[in-house]
Amino acid sequence: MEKGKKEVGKMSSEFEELKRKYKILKEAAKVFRVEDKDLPRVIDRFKKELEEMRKS
Amino acid sequence: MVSKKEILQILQKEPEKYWEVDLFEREGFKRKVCPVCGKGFWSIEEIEHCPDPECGEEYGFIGNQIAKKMSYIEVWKKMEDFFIKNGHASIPRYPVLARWRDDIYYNIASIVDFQRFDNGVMVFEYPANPLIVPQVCLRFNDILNVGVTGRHFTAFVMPGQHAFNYPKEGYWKNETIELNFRFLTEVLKIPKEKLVYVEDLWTMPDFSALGPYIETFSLGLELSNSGFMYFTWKDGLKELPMKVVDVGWGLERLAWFSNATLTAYDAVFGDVIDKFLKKAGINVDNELFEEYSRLSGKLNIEDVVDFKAARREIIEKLKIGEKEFVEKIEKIQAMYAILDHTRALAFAISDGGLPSNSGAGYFLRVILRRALNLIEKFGFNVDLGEIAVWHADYLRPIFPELKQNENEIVTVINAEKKKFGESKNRNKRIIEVNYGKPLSTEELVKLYETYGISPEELGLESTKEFYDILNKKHVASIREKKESIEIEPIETTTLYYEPVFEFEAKVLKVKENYVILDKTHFFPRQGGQECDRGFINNCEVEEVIKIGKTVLHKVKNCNLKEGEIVKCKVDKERRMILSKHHSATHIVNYAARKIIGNWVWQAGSNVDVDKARLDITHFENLSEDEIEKIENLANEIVENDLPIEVNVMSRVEAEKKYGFRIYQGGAIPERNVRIVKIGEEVEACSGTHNMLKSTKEIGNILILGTKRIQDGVVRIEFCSGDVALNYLREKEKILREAAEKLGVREDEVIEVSKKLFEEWKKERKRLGK
Repeated sequence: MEKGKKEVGKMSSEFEELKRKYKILKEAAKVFRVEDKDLPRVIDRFKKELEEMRKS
Repeated sequence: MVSKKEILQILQKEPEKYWEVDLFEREGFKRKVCPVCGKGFWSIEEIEHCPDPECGEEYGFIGNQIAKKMSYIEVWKKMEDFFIKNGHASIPRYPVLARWRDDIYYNIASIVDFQRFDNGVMVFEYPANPLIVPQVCLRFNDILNVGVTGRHFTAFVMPGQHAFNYPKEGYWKNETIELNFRFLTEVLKIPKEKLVYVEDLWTMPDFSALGPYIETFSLGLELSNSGFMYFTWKDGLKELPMKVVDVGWGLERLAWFSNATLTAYDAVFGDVIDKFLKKAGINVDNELFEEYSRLSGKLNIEDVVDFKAARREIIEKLKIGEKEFVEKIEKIQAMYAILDHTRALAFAISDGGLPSNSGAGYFLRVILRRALNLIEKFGFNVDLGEIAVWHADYLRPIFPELKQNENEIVTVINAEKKKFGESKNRNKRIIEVNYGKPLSTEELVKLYETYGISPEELGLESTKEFYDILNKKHVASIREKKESIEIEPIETTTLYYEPVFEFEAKVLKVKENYVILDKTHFFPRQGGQECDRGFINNCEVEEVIKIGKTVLHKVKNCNLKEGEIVKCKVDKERRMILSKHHSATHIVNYAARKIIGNWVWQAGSNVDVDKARLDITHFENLSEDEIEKIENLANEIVENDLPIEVNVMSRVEAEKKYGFRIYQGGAIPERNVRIVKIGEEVEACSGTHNMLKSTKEIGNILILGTKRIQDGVVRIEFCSGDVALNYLREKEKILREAAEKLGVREDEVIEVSKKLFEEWKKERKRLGK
């Protein structure tokens, strides 16, 4: 690629930070083998089930 | 409908007008008429019939060297020198994949390089005049003859000698045959008495262009065809205003003739044959093979009715057994076929082709698998990738690009080899059940298309009929079905490349919900980019399409009247997102090619507002590492803030300047193309890239996912700019919510999730669940 003026703007830093967080989300979703959008709900379910199992 | 024969008969009434050239009289060529085929021919020596094999002529040059001995490479070099000295420009070959045409997959003749369509009419566009080009052509209609007849190839070089636009430029018959004669007698040193010129007719299949054809023969071998595009047929012969000389030489034939070898392959493949023989440990029985070569024409699949019977007859004539025939003859034939197929694959892959189960790639898979089957059948200790490298080395003086793309050629061949192995394992059971069964050709075609099982794998021979059916099926599907709405053609003034989003126009036609305006700034769906939306008066525009030169606006609840002046508003925000996503598509395409390999080519695209998708040609899905590298490179390009340049130029100029990679989106049916240049990525494209000045305006690119959508095609989905940021912000919210549920910081979510999952599993185990 032709070299132009290299200047990483504000948006890029935000993009990088958001991408880093997205990676965390995807990795965590992989632990439960679910889609990332379902992670909070699945965490809830696992926590509840764990609590119930511990009670019994 | 007139026939070729009828037109030939018309021209034959005046042979001196259509075929005679000054040289014939000067050099003592006399005209005779062949008593077998009725065609006229010109020769110095007294011969009874024309030199066509169908009229009884046999090859008289094998073992009878009358020309100067030159290698395959040397023949081209001498030819190039000769034509340059005689006022021709030597231009590099065009790709074997005819990307500039939408009616053929492969380049089948040198003239194809210069044929283009301009709104449905064939025109010639050429970078120099007159010119010579070492055009590599691929033809797959004679696969079974390759290796067997001694002269058939799937890949061959047709040096094209072309002169255009006579009488304004170029030259005509006298000059063409003069050059032909001088090259053959002065450079190849063929005695003039051994040349014969045969009269025939050259035509386009639809007779849109036709004219005299002069075939040059020597000792039974056709060395060149000189076609003169003189007329068109419209209820009779009508002279074309622009006349074209189309001479197709046969480099394989010239080298064969020059070397007088038993087969053309021996003269063409150079030291690649020696390398193969040495590696495979083959000793050729020259005496037996020579005897066989004289009979090999009888096995031409085009002419033979019963191939098995013809083969049996040859075995009897050679006075050898079946086993000896397989070992001493068919083994050598297999070697020639493997060498040919690998050479064809090397050219195709080097030009961005990829074997697959459909389209252009289908033919590559057929020859690749045929070559692998032959290697297995004869137990050759050779590797296709290795043979491709030998070819690249040998052909380097003419085609250095093969050496430059050597790694990619080998990578693709190896990937395809692996696929074939996997398919064989997967299909073991089906092969066992069907092995040796007398299956019909239709059943064999079905097995090949469904499972990729070739007749050879079932212990059967492939037949011509088998390949013919497959070829027809794949060639027939070449032209895509196009959208059609019946509406009278009204030309719309298109203004959508101007940054104007509110305008007034006159309604010219209303048909149901479709509206035609006298002018429009609404961008229609084209080039993979979704259309603009907005309003015409108070009617919402939900779709915009272009058919020919007419732009149709599909509106909801249409209350517009013909003749009315309307106020139009284009949704600017939508247009900007589409422009950004479209420019991102070009960048992702470039980045994918750089990271994956040269065979990556756009197989399709769709640019919408929520995301864009790009389908690329690649033999396997992308790994996470590859996705990350593509995304990083794409973002580097964005951040480097490179200019986005849009220029309209002639096709021929664009091809000359940027090559054939510009046709990522397919052939362009007009003389002028819109060239979009983003850094090193240059594509002919009708998208609204001019809305952006530089790559930074696209915003960062985020790859959302990839998947293999069909054999040889991988889909990449992505978005950019605010769409990407909003997507990621949504994900950030989800992560925040997950962290809150776990009662930890966002950075700790993975670790704590793992802990939760482990504890959950442990408890389940404890409870025996």
